Amino acid sequence: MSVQTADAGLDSKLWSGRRRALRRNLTAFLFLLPTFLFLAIFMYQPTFNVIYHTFFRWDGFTLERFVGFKNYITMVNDPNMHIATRNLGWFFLGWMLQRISPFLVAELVFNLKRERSKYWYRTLFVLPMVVPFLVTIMIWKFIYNPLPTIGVLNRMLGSFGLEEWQTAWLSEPSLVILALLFVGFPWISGWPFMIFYAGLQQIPSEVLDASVMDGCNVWQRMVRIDIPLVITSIQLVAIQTMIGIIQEFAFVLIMTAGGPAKASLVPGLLLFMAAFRGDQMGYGATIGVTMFIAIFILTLLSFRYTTSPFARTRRTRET
Amino acid sequence: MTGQTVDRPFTSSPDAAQVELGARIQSALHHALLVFLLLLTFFPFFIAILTSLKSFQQLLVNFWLPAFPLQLHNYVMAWNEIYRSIINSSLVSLGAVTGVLLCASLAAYAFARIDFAWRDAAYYLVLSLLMIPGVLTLIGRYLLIVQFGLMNSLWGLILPYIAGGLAFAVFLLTGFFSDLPEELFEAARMDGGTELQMYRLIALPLSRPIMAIVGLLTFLSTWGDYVWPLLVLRSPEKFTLMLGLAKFTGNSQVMFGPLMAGYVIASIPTAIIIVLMMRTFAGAALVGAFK
Repeated sequence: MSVQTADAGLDSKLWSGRRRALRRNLTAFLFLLPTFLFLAIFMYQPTFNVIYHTFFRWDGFTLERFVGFKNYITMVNDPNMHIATRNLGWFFLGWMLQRISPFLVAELVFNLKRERSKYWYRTLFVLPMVVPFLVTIMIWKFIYNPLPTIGVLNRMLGSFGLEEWQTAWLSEPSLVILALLFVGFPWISGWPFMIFYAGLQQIPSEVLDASVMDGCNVWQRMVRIDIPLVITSIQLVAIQTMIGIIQEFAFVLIMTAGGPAKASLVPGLLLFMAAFRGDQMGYGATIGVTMFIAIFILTLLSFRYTTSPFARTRRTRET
Repeated sequence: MTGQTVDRPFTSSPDAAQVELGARIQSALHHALLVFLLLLTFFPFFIAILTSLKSFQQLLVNFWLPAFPLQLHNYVMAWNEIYRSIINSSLVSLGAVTGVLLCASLAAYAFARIDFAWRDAAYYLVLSLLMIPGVLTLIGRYLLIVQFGLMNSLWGLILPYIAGGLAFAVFLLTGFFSDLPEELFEAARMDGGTELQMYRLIALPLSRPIMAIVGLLTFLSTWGDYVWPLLVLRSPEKFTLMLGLAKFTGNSQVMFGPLMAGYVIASIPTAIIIVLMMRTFAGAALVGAFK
């Protein structure tokens, strides 16, 4: 008798528990539904569609012929791709340095004595971020204007009596990459500066005080204390920058459209041209997938190296 | 720099006045360098504003300094050229921000506060999208928009923008929602509150700062986008601000004044929004969110 009731009680408890779990699952499902609908339609489907079609000659609509690895082979042998990759190498180097260099300025501001001046410099340095990127680009296009009377840079050279240096900055194959890299000089304003500064603020003040007591000069402190302690911020910026650079093309499209004569061509622009100006969707997709693989590998590699400074600090703390 | 006053405490103490002077000079150099960098940073924008107030003749004669009379009608010209695209951009960004905040907060609530089957798997499914570069999906998204008949429609921008912003938004919001104290929800559950009520009455009101940040990031990325509108929109009356500016740039051969005025006008909406954010609660958290 008593056993039976206990059984029934357990049974109903189990039953209600299961029902509750079911209800929870159903609720969660409804909460997630809108997000996954959007992601399925506009993220997962296009991704797999694009990867799948790298093995096809494809214009996106009617033409769809299986060609195996031909697109990949074409890409490896494509002289345009060689030029674009070499250019990207230069952009990579330059932009990477640009994004890391605000660290020095963050140090300069952080090392000021008065809190109020720190606040003002910090605010002023990030203020230009309110200007949309495209607008900044177009202002720089005005700076590089080839006319000696209009282009800001040419006009400046003119007023210093350096007329023979005036040139069409963006139409000179040997100059164009340098000119593009110079855009945004002195490259301080931006989220890397904010992240670096936030990183410096996280350093415990005891550590900084101790370094002063030990007679550390500013340079020593930066190299031995600040950089190791904010290395995660630096790596975060480096990884984000890297991902951004590899797929970058809007900037080049607006400034030079890859010209003159492919002197500033980059892989992203090649993808754009192949897919949307040449109806070679399959080939464009192939370039896209290759970029994805490159980004994936580089991200993994940098995560591998991210862990090492952590491990080092942890070990020193233990001893 | 705080080291100057106790510089090398163990060497023979130099004349105090000399140390004081050295520190002053160093501090002056320090400020001079920073001010110089600030001037360089602001130089292009300064030139743009100057030029926006000049006619072409004034520009030729007097390049570096303000020229009078100020050509305020440059701004009128620019406004007439781009006001339509500002309205379009506002609609698109507003739609995208609303969509992202609504969908992402619901999903993040489920991930953070409901214990359901396959939770981790579903979460990683969302997070994995952070690894997918935008250029990879560009072609696929374009074909979808063509198939859905959304070419040359603002919906063709809004819907993909929502999808594109969701992964990062879910990531940020889930982290925030899981940090909320469980006791709040426990009490509500005792009183028989449903999950939807707890989401609406507890989670949402407490998460205003982080929602503001997610909204701001979505707004800025959609407002400034150039490539996607370039692919989707065809007719000029549908153009977003960035397309409108590009078209304006292409059309105005020597009208540098109105053009620069257009650039200044285009920066005002983002400036207002960012300043508002800075002045309210979100400012301090904005930097912290990236940590």
